[in-house]
Amino acid sequence: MTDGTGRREPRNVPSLLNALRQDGFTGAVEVTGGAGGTLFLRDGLVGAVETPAAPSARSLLLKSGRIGEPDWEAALAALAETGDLARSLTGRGLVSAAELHLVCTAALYDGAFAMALQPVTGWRTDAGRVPELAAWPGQEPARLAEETALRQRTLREHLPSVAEFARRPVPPVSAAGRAGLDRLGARTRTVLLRADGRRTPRDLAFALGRGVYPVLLDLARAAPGGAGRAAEQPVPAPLLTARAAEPYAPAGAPSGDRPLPRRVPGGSGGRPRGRTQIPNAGPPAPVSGTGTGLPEESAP
Amino acid sequence: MKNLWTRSRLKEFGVKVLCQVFESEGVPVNALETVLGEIHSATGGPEAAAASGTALIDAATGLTYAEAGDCAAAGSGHDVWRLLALIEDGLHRAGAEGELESVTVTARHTYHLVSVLPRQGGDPVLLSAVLDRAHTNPALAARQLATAAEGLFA
Amino acid sequence: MTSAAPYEALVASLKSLRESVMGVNETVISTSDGLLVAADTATAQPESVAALAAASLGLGRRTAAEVGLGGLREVVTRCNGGYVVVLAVGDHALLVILADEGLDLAGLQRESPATVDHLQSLLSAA
Repeated sequence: MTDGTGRREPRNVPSLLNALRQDGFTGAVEVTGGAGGTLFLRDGLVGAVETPAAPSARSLLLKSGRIGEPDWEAALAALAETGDLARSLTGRGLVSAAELHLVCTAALYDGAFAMALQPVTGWRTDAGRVPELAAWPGQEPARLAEETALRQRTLREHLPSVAEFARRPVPPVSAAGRAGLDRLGARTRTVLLRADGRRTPRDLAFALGRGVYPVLLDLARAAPGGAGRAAEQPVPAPLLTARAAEPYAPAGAPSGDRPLPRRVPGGSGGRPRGRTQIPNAGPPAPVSGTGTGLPEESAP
Repeated sequence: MKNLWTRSRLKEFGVKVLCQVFESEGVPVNALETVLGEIHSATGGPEAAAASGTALIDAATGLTYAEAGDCAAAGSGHDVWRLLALIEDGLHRAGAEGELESVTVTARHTYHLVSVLPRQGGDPVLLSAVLDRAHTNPALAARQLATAAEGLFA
Repeated sequence: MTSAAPYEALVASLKSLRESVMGVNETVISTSDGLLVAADTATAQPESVAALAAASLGLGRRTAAEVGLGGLREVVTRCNGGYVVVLAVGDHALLVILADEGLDLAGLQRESPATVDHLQSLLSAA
């Protein structure tokens, strides 16, 4: 990370990317902190982001059913001939180059956004690594930072703390809340119906093969207070109880003592019989913001 | 410079072929920009005016994937997304069934057409076009855009 | 620790692992002969997972011994949609981790030894 020209060490990832853009860097930037992740650059332009915090282009293509598993396997097997997964996929007619570019671009911005929700502790560059799939020629780092900040601002219109909301499991829709689902778009409905009180927005994104930001946006807009819904007309029952509407309890509130809907032991000591059921508890109340001091970076 | 050369070469091919050869020239070209350029130039002709600006925007996030021409009159991708989200929310609240297909905004001098292009296994994409009102048949232009966009995400 | 506490403590430990490592979705603790001890699952059948994981861990151990590459560390099954990781908890129990394809492997490697240690102490106290 040192550079011999005597310039100052970059303060954060956006300024690091700006510096690498000026240098025309080609290679990978491995970022640590939170789940971490890797940005892939060519001539300083960002072509891909891979992170556990958001679905990769591969996840988006496979989980959404856009490309079937056997076709994917076949494309991988053909890698020896084409030497390039993108060409392998487009060459077999599994996906058009335009579609692939679009999916890769969406994954790139989503990955950058998801990584920015967590504090960054460090980074190092590795000129040798290449991404599985990428959207070359790549995006200007300045535009990436701008879009990430815009996404955070958009979510903040609905949520008091984006990072906090993103880390929390999404409570299931209550029985009464189901009636209000008709008033939502099909995509939002799908997201809400997959919520089980265990999955975080990130987990839902992986389960659905969609981006973390679109999932967060759907959840935020469906929350009471979101999109002016609560103000305009009473929804039969809140879909996401009070998460956005109630203030967070101060740190130190009994967060750990409030159980999520949890499996009930089938029998202690002995052999549990059959599958135990998750009690159909209501959505958990907002838990304390132990991480209220969590730095929320405004850009990757 | 290099990009221009590649694109002019690529123009000789059909859109689908375009998609597949875009990298074989050794110069990476944004495949979406190339395809959008094709769609952009598909408007116009004797009956309908050419679009002054065309953009491909993510319907779920407002992210602009590609732009051709001057899109300033339509606002940013995020502005277009907000407009559509507002209309969609209103429709759903009013109890409308089904998904939004397109929106035409008529301003004093321009039409702003936004079509929702569904994608298999993914969030839809918005095709946004700004057209000169005095010289445009909006229905025809919408049709031309839809035809040009057909098969884009095949 | 009271006699009722270990089960709760085991589940709490599983839940904490799920919350601290991105991608971990479900976890199961089983005896090394495949009997379910505790689970933090949503869709998986814990009894089946316990039995299969015990079998795969046994197979992994025998394979490791056969090829002489040292003791077994873990059994990782990589699927198109995610991972199944089986870790031994002492000599008599094991931990199964079901994760999606975005699993933070580095995070899991960082967190799992402490979880395994903790589970082991809970199980030996029970």
